[in-house]
Amino acid sequence: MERVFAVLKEMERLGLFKAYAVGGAVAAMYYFEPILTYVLDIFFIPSKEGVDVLAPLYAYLEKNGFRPEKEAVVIEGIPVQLIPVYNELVKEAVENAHEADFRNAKIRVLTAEYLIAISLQTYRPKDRERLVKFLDEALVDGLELGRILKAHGLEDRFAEFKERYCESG
Amino acid sequence: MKAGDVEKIFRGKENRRIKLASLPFEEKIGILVQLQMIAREIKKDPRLPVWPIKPSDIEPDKAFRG
Repeated sequence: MERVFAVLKEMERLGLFKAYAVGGAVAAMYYFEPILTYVLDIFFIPSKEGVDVLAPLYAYLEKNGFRPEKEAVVIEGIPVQLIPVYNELVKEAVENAHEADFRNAKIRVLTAEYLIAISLQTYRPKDRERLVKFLDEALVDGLELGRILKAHGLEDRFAEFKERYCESG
Repeated sequence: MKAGDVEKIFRGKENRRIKLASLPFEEKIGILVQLQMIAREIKKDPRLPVWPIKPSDIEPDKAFRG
């Protein structure tokens, strides 16, 4: 898996995107118990604004022999979904990602606080399930979370979520 | 089964989850790969991906040389 990150690092070095961070289930798993997933979600900040920010990335990957499969590209045997940052919250989350060690590689992972905020924003059933896990199992910086939720207008949703789904409210 | 026994089981499960949450990320990825293998067997679907955990697990023609 570290070789996927070698590919991403090379893409960053070539200026194909400004920055990247692991998101989705794998990032969540960094903070709580392992859960089944098949796709590695990578959020990235595009180098240039444009309609098709994925095209240069796919062109580079195809040139290096990595084939697209459904909504992902298979890199070193792992389906990787490249997702351009789609709003201010996600962009800020990538900019403030946590640098972690993975075997011999340095990787960037979204922080627990930003993952909680993103889950509150998307709020699908699987996001609500993850939110419960975050609050039960992960170490979360309450002050930082409060700051992010306030900045992105998510405080009311968080209060509502806690009231509905958490034992202590 | 008494109510106290059920509570003990739930507490045990909760402790197990917290213990798993505190494992190093590399170990968690190892567990994820095991989960993928189990899911492939249960669903009897060889198309379900199982992530290669070591570089040597990758087929040579798919390895990155950049």
